[in-house]
Amino acid sequence: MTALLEAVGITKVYDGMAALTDVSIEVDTAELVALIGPNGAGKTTLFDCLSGVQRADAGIVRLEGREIEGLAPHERARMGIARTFQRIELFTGMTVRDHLLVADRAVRRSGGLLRDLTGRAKPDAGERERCDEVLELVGLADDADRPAHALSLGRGRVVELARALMCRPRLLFLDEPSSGLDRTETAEMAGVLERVMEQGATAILLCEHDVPFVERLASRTYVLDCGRRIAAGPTRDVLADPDVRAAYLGQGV
Amino acid sequence: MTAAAAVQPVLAAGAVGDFFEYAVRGIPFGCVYALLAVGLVLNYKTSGVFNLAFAAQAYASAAVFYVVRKEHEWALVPAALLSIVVVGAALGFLLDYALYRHQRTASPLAKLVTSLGLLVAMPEMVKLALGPGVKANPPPLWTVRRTDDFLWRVGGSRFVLDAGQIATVLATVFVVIGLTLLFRRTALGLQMRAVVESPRLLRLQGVDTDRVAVVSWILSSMLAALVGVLLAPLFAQLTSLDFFTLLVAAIAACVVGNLTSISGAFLGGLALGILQAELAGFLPTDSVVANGLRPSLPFVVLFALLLIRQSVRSARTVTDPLAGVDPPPDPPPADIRPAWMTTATRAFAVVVIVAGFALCAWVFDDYWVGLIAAGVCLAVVMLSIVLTTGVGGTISLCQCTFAAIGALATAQLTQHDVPVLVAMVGGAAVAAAVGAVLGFPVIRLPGIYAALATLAFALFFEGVLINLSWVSGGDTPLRVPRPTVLGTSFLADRPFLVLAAAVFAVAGVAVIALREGTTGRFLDAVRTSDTAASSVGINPARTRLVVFVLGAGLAGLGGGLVASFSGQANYSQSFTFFIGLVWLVLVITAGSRSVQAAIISGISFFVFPALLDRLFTWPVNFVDTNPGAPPWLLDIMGFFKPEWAQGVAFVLFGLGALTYAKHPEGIIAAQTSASIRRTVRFVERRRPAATSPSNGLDLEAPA
Repeated sequence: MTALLEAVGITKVYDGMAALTDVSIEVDTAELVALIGPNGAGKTTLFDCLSGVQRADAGIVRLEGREIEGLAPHERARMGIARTFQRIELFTGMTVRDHLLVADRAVRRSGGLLRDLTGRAKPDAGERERCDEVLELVGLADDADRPAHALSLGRGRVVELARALMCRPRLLFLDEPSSGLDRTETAEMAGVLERVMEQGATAILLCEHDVPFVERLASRTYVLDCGRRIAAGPTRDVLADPDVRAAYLGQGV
Repeated sequence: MTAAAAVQPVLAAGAVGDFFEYAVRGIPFGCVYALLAVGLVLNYKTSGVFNLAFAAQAYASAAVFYVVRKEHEWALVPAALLSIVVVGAALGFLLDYALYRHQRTASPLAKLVTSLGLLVAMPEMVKLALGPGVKANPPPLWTVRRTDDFLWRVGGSRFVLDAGQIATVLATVFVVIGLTLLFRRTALGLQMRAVVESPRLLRLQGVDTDRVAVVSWILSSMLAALVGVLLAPLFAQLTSLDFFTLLVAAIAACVVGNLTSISGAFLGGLALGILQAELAGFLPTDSVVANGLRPSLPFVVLFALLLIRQSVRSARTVTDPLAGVDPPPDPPPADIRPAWMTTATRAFAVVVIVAGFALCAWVFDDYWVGLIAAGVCLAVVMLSIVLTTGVGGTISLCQCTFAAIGALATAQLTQHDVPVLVAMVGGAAVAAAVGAVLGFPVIRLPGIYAALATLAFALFFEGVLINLSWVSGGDTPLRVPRPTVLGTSFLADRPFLVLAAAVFAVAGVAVIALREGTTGRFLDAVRTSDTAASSVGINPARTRLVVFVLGAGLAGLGGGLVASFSGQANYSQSFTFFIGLVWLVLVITAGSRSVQAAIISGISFFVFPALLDRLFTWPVNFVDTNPGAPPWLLDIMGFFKPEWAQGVAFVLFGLGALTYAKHPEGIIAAQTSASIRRTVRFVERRRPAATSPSNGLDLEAPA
């Protein structure tokens, strides 16, 4: 039985600075795995390498046993790898619904010149239904027709999540989904992620600083420090590990 | 130079000696490129403006120097002081005070558009102010003669530099050292760099950013003036076009230094000049390769640099860390328009179109109908700018070149007895094919570099390709007939106008469908961020390329139409780079995403100068027909000259682009939004009790 995602020996060097050294991780179908580590540990770089934004200097990435190193980000997205961003990247000038429609059509490759030129650009019944489903799931139904940039940061992160979910991902990378959110918003975000996990179709790899958030959601946790994997295992054990506490959490926690 | 003299006897013979001789010969030219490049870098580094108008500033000072030195016969020193120090500084101050001060936090695109507008307007202003006459043999900024007059007099030297070249080399060295010291050693230099990054952050640190910016503008403008005066004698006469062409080599040199390194730009310029001299020396003079390669070297180098250099591709545009405090852009008019008003607007549009055709059919005489028909043909080219730049987000400075390619291909096809309309489609296909080949690398470049690459291509076409007979079809422009389809003749202007309007309508509907459809959404996504767009499965390169190719094809179609209407595919009259700049500036000013902007700017390009011509002719006629009028009135009337019309039109077109920074959506959309808000407020005041007709968006403007 191969894992859903298997990354072996990922190494990335920027101008002689090793951002990642020999990092290996695995994510199984429909599990939620956390990636923690201090700022600059290489979490986002790892996400970039896994989603294809950056080319790793060494290492292998497999999705369901198939090697995907060398595929462009959009090709990986079409294979079922979606992601969100630490600094949110919403499309300017689009409503929430537009974001979802764009993602739906891009991944299904159902939009295009011919469709536009023959006047069939309006969403069809299937597209509307899929949009509404995701809007309902993440609780954005009321904001669907508002411009996305008019929403608060917390809602903006949810829009990004919804956009990623429209790709029907088998694997979802969330880059600090709770950063910049207040306590209520963080709790809402955790609730949304729990609902996504209940559906059982998506595995999630998230990187986070918020330890209670990770404890609540993640079954397993990896810890990165200075570009190296320093711990891995069930979340509870990892968080109890004295090395991890020293490197990341500080002695007092 | 003494070192060169010392090694000279040893290397006097053989290929190595030749190599050094050619290298020395190339140094002055390299310094010319380097000076321009350093000026561009200085501007970019200290203001964030990739100042294409640098060439125009240089031209302005060169023209002032020409006039005072040659026509008014001033002494050298006051003439140089006036044109370099006074005019240069004043221009820099003016540019900052009147323009760039208000754009400090604008996007790099907005600043580029502003500089394009100035590039169009300034040379025309200079011509209007200093007279349109030919300025032959620009005077030099030096008095000594050649090196062999005072150096190595005995036995003669193979390394001969004339005084102009010495002046250029010395000025370059002086400028490079001075600027390097300024940026490395002084607080002012540091502040100049910081003011680009975030003027607001710098102000929070207690720095007077306005003072820093004005100093850097004055400095770069004086450098432009120096460059202009130094370079003018290289040419037989003073024209702004020569300065544009030099600009390409200078841009290539800038790219060596990633647009921000003074020493990189200097070395790049020097290397380019030497490379050119070596090629000229070593390649056989009569070979096809040599004749093609030598003039095209700067373009080839610029292109190669843009494609090869990794740092260019991964270049991120500087974003102000405080940009988040800016309010979001205004929603497009369609979003704030109540439903009832949409119907009224559409009805009004139909009335305008019908009235337009009625006027052309029965009211306007042949002269005006001809101008309007030409404008509608051109509007198809303008539409390609809307598609490529407005919808596609690629700043293309070579749509005029695609139009020319379409026109020339149409002409060549009609030579082989292909029906004109079929030939136009063929021309569009050829232009699209060229667009695909060019676009494949270009669309992968980040914004400003894509603009530079298309600029290089346009000038390459103008400087090199158009001179090849298989491209241009020979010295006399090829003739293109007007079409006759199924017994319907489009030979007269009015039927042709209908044909052109039909082509425009079809293309316009297609552009709207793309803009509003999935393609438009994908492009919006890609424009926001490649990374975000590709994270949902959009292929950014493919999306951009498709639109770029379609835009090239559309420009080609428009070019064929223009050629057919005017009866010939005449590059120098209809499609030059400068004309293309005017087109781009017009469309961007009117609204780069708007189909109405395409038709309005197409028609204005021809009709507006004609109207100005009438305006300036009227006083002349008045003088002729009313000799008995009071003399003061005759003096005022006699002041106007009809030949101003074209120049004034270009100046106004160029200055129009300056509104872009305030209204990036274009003045049409801005005016429409304003009038919608006014109308809605008016209606709501009239019936306060009735339910608001607005669609729920907040239309309240601050009182």
